[in-house]
Amino acid sequence: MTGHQPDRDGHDDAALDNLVDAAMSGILAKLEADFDPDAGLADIYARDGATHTGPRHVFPPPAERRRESTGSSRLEEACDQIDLLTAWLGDLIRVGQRAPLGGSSYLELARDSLVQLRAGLGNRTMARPEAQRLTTDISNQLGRADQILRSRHATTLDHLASQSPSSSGDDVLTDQVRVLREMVIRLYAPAGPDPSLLPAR
Amino acid sequence: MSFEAVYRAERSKLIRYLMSMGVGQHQADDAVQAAFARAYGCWDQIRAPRAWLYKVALRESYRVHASAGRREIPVGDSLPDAASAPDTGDLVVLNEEEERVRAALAALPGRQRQVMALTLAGFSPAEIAAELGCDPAAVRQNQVRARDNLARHLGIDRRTNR
Repeated sequence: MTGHQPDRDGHDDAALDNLVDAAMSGILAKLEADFDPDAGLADIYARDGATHTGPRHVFPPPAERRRESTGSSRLEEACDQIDLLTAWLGDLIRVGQRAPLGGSSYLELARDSLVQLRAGLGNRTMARPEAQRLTTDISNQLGRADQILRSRHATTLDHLASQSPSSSGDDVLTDQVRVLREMVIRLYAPAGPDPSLLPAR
Repeated sequence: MSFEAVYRAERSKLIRYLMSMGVGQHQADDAVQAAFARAYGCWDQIRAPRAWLYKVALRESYRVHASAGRREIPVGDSLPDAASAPDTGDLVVLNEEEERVRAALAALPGRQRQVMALTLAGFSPAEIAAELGCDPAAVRQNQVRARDNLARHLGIDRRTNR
């Protein structure tokens, strides 16, 4: 189950496999025993805002759905990206709380800017100049943190971020900030299919 | 496969997956429910529902983690302290062995943890590689390293088991 065959060094991992498999099976059995699928499904249907009669009956026609989802899903993606970055910076800030870490104050400023951006986009009350200013601030603040980490700790912000639990491993923090900037630009792009879904300008 | 069938089959497995990624039980539960709620809204457009759900549930857990902002997920190689303590408010109570394994998985470095959690969820190296955007050989290498670290954390002397 853990994906291993006995290796060339002769390691026999039966003990490890048995322990992990038993624990994972035990956890699953307990979760299943606690699981009320009908209540869970009812919650999902309630979130969808309709009494369940089957997904195809509840949803609007596909064409209408596609038109409706385009603008709002872009906004949702941007908010997801902000949440991801906020969690990521939160991990790094906590590292700085355990041991002195140069640049922590800039990380906190960047996180504050993310929170402001998230609130403004989420409420659809943020004008484009303000959103762009915040994304620029975030980049600058992280750039300052990176400079300090390089000079004081001989490491980089991206390297430190790659060690954090919010990292999926391959993601690079500064790349993800760049992705956010592009998402915000697209969000305010005039060619959007439904301007009414974009934040107020 | 219908949405309802996938929900019944996968929900608990998804929660277990997030738990092995170091996410607290309630946060995992919230994240999985949110992922399914999203899936429900676009079910007929999702081509690979299982892979989609695992990806979105993990991302939802970041969101829940960010908004909760209180429970720490363990960093690096060290075993977690607060996160590994029994939580009387959890969905289910794990026994000592289950908690030890969960904590050891959660303490793996980021990439190893994700590879091992997906492996335990039943994904093949090729599927994991596609999911993570890397080479299957890199997945297998991370599996080997993760197993080494797991054995060390769990106090299993693999040399005695030849």
